Amino acid sequence: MRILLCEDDSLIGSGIKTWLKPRGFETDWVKDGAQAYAALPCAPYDAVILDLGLPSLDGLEVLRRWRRDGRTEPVLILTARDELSERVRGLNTGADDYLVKPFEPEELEARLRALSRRSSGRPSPVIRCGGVILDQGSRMVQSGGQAVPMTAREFRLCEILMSGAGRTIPKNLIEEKMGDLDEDASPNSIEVLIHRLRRKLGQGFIKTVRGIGYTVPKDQGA
Amino acid sequence: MKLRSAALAVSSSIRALARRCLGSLKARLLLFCLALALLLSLAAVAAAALHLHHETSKYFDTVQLAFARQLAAWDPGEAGAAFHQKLPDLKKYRSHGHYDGDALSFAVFSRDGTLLLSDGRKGRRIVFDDKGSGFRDARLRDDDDKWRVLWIDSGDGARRIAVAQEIEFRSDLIFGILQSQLLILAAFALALCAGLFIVISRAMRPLGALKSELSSRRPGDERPLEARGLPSEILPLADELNSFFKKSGAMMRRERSFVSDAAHELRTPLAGLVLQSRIAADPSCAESDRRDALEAIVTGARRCSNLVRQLLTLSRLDDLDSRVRSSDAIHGMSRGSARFKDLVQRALLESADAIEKKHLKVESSFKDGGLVIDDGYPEMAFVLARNLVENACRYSLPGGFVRISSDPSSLMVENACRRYGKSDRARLGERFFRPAGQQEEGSGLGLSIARAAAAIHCMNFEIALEDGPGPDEATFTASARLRS
Repeated sequence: MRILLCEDDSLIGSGIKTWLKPRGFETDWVKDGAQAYAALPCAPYDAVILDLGLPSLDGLEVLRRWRRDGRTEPVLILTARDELSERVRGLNTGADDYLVKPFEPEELEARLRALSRRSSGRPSPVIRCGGVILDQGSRMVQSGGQAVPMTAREFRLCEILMSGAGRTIPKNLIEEKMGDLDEDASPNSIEVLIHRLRRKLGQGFIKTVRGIGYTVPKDQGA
Repeated sequence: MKLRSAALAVSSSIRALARRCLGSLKARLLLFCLALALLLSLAAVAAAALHLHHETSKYFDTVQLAFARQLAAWDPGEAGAAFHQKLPDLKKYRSHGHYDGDALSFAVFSRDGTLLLSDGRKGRRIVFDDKGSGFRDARLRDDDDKWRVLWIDSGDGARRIAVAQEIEFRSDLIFGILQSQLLILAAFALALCAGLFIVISRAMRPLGALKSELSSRRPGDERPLEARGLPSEILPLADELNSFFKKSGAMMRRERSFVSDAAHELRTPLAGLVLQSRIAADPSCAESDRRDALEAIVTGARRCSNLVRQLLTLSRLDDLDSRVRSSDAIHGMSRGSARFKDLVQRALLESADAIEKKHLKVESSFKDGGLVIDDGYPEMAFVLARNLVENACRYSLPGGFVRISSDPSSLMVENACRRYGKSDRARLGERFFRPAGQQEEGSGLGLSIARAAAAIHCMNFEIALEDGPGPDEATFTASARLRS
């Protein structure tokens, strides 16, 4: 999952980014309201974490502008203010969830996954495509009833492909979804990852659509 | 011993009862009115008794005189001394008055003391007295009671006439009249008490309603008490209570807001600490990330501790300020001379790192030795100096200036800073307020603390922001000036 994190506090920002990284999240971190507003259209984010007390542009104003521009990405508000009126105001402005500081990182992770699932119309964290089962909660992949060990990036790619089963996922979209601002998400590295996944899940599991991208055929999917 | 302890127990019970009874305004009023009515009644009865005694004495003396005169006109002739034995029995008239001789007895003597005529039993016992005329108190023969006896001579001087009346008969009559008066007065007192009880109960009803309203009131409730129907004597009390509710409500609102803001301010670094400590303990995170997390925990803990220190300082200053305002005693805070030249130097030393890091140009001038407060709180005076200097150094633009100037009545700190929007300008100095775009980490309490520290030293605190020479430059000024 690719997340846009809008948080001005370095202790929290770096903490969320570091915590989510080994759990299959690619996080782009911005520390300013204006930057946050500009960053959302730049990549296909699965969810946004938005702090309300952002410098230069208030978090709620950023959210209001996103919704006005027609952005539909799920937004989780992260704030120290826990009054009912604040929560209601945040949700009425267009937020999808609300988390009050301090929070347990597992809860943040679970809420982000739930937001992403809901926005893509999948209520269950388990995705089945033929004999392959991917559990977003436990981050486990099984093939033919056997657990398949995967690195974080392999799991992420598998998750992107299986989430769009039956559709062709363009290469550049994969790059963007995989891409962290600090990580290498070049076409070559994606091909290397596809090669590894085919070895682990079977050569016929992922099909190449020449010149466009990759697909997990629906007849093999759920 | 047993008797003594029983007596003590009874007396303490009575005292407790009296205390409980007299604790009530209604009981006090009733008791007071009752006692007053009793005293007045007794005084009235005493005055009436004296008057009655005088008047009845005059009346009975008149009766005795009239009767004596009638007797003096009587000529016994041949009736002789046995006449008195033929007097009628008056027992059948007992319901109409006294029928025996106590009411009025008489005797008629010849000059030599021979009893010529008497009314019977009592009259016969009058002891003959041949000395002069007039009233005198005397005793009858074989009788211990005192009698008032009138002696006169008949017109021809041949007989001496005595008309006697028992003094106790007169007293009984006076007592009887007074007794009936007392009964009327007692009935009047009872009626008065009942009337007073009703009137006082009705008058006290608004107080009862006030009491119920006060007892059901929750802390922080600022609604004014219902003044309608309250007697004018209670209205000032209700007004004072309303004013108190308003003040205490405002104080509670301020405290709640302070605690709420403080809690929110602490939540952010606490959330950071939770996250970083979880990362440090998470084996799935990279070793370098875990090391960074440990460093971040130290930074976060320092931030928390700094924030807590600032909150405590502000809380102490608020307390000090309210004590100074109400002239309450301040304990645990040493008083003495505060020389701001020294305090500023100390504060600059503490901010040396920030000054060096930002390459700040620091200028200071102290006219006539600068501000000196002879009888202040040196610890809090340093808090004022440190917060102003620290604030200037923290928010100054890199390569900018920090200018400190002081004279015997003021301290002023200026620094170059970025420009702020109109709404941010208006909120500068508010508790926990950090302008948008502020990169430097601070609690948002520095200026509030400086303001509070100035207030306890009877100083006015002002801040100002003026546009600087550059397009995004401004000059921030904070000054504390002794009130004239």
